[in-house]
Amino acid sequence: MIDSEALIRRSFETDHLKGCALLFKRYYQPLCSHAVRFVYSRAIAEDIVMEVFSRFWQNKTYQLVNTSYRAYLFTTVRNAAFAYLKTEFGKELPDEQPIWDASQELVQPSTPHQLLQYHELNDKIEQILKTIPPQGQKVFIMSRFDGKKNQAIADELNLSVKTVEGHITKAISIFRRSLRESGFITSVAVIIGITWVISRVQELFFSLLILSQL
Amino acid sequence: MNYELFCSSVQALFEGRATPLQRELIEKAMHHPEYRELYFTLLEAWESQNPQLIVDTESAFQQWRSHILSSPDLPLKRTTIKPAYRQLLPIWAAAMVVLLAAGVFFRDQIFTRTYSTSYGELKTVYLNDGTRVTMNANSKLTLPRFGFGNKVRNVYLDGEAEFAVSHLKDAKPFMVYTPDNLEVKVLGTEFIVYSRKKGSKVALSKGKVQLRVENVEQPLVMEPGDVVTVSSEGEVIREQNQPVEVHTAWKFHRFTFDNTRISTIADQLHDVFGVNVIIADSALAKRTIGGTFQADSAEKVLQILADILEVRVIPGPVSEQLPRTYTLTY
Repeated sequence: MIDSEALIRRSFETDHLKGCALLFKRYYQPLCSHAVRFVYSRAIAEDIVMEVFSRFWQNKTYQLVNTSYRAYLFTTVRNAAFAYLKTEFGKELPDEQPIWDASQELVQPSTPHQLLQYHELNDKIEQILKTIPPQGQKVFIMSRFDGKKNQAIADELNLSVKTVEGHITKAISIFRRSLRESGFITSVAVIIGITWVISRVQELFFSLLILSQL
Repeated sequence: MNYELFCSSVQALFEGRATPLQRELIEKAMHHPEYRELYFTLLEAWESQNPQLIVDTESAFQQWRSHILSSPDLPLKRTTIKPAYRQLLPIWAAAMVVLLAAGVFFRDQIFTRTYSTSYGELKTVYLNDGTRVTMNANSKLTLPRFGFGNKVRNVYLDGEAEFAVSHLKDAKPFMVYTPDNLEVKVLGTEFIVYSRKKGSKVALSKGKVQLRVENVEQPLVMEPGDVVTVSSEGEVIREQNQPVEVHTAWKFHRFTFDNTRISTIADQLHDVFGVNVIIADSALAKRTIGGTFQADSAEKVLQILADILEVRVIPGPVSEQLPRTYTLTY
C-alpha cells in the first residue's frame, strides 16, 4: 500500500514537472476535502492546497521529502490550514501545533501527538458548528463552505440580506468565542491596563491644557 | 501492533468517535514510520470516500501549472475571502480616526469641567475636595473632570472668584492659573483672584498663598490683608493691610469704591454686567467717589452714580448683538 506512490516517484527521476503534475492530480481533491474541515471555506481550502503545491515546486521540496509524498502533503496542508485559523482567530487557539512557515523548505513531520491533536481541533470545530442554530448553520455553510454571495443565499432561503449578514456575523462570533478558551483572563488584564493608560493620558491632557492656555 | 486494530481505531478517530484508549493506541503505534505512513494512507482513503468538498481538479491544475511556469516567484493570486473583522477593518479604522479627531477637538470638554457665569450672575460651586468657589459675573472656572485632587488640585480661572480652599490632610497644593500667567499656590486659605483684561489681582483674607507672576523669578508669599495687583503691562503692586471686604463686596451684589475713578467703575461695570459705559467728559472720567452701594444691575449702579455726581445717564438702543451702551454726561 505504501508503495502506491512508486510510479510517481519514478517520474520524478526523469521529469520533475511531470511528477508534480501527477501528485497534484492525485491529491488535490482529498487535500482540499481535508483542508476544508478546518477552514470551512471552499475558496480558502483551495487556496491553501494550491499554495502548498506551488511551494512544493518552487522550493524543489520533492527532492527532500523522505516520507511518502502523501504524508508530506497532508501534513503541510494541515499546518497551513492551522496557520490560516491562527490569523483569523488570533491567538485564541491552543499553541501546540507547529505553525506552517512558507519560507521553510521542508516541513518537519508532525509528532504522533500533534497528528492526534489535529483531530481534536477538527472535532472541536464540528462541535462548535453544531451549537449554531440550524438556520445560522445553513447560512454559514452556504457562505463560507460553498462560497456563495450573501445576496444569493438571501434569495435562496427567502431571507433579507441583512438577516444573512447577521447569521454569518453571529456564527463567526460563536467560533471566535468558543475558540477563546483561555482568552478570558487575558481580556480582563487588557481592560485593567487600558483603564490605567486612560487615566494617565487624562492627567497628561490636563497639564497640556494648562500649558496651552497659559 | 495489530494492523486490523490500528485501522479500525483510525477509522473511529476520523469519524470523531475514538475512545481515549484508541487514541493512545494510535499515538503509540505512530512512533513507527510504517504506521505513520499507514495513517496517511487511511487518511487519503477516508477523504476520498467521504469528500467534504468536490473540487474541479482539472481547472485548478491548469491554473497551478500556468502559475508555476509563468511566474513561479510571485505568490499565487489569492481569492481568499477576508475574515469578517478584516472586511470591517477600514470601517473600524475610519471610526477610530473620527473618534480620535473628536477627542482631540473636544478634549477640553471631555477632560475638563467648566463652570461659568453670565453677566450679572453670581455662582457658588463646591469642588469635590470641599473647596468653595464663589464666582463673580462673567467668569469661567475650569478644572479637570477626572483625577482632580489625585496629586495636585489645579484650576484655571478667567474672571473673578473667591476661593475658600479646604486644607487636606496630605497638604495637596491647590493651584489657580489665570490667562496672564499668574500662578497662585494655596497653602489652605481664603482669597480672591481677579483676572480680567485690565490686569489681575489677588486679595487674601485668611491664611497664606504663594504667588508666581510671569517673568518674576521670586515667588511672592502673601499675608492676610495683602492685595497684589498685576497690571496688563506686567507691573506688580503689593499693598498691605487692605480691607479685603472691598474686594469681596461683589459677593453680596455690593460695590465698594474707595477713591475710585469713574473710568475704573465703568471698566468694572463692563466686566460684571457686560455693558459699555461711555463717559462723555474726560474731566468726569477722572472724578473719584467712595462708598458702598447695593446694586444688582448696571442700571442701578449708574443711577446711583448719576445721583451722586449730578450727571445724566443716557441709555443706548437695545440690541441683541451689541452690548448695551450707557452714556454719562453732564
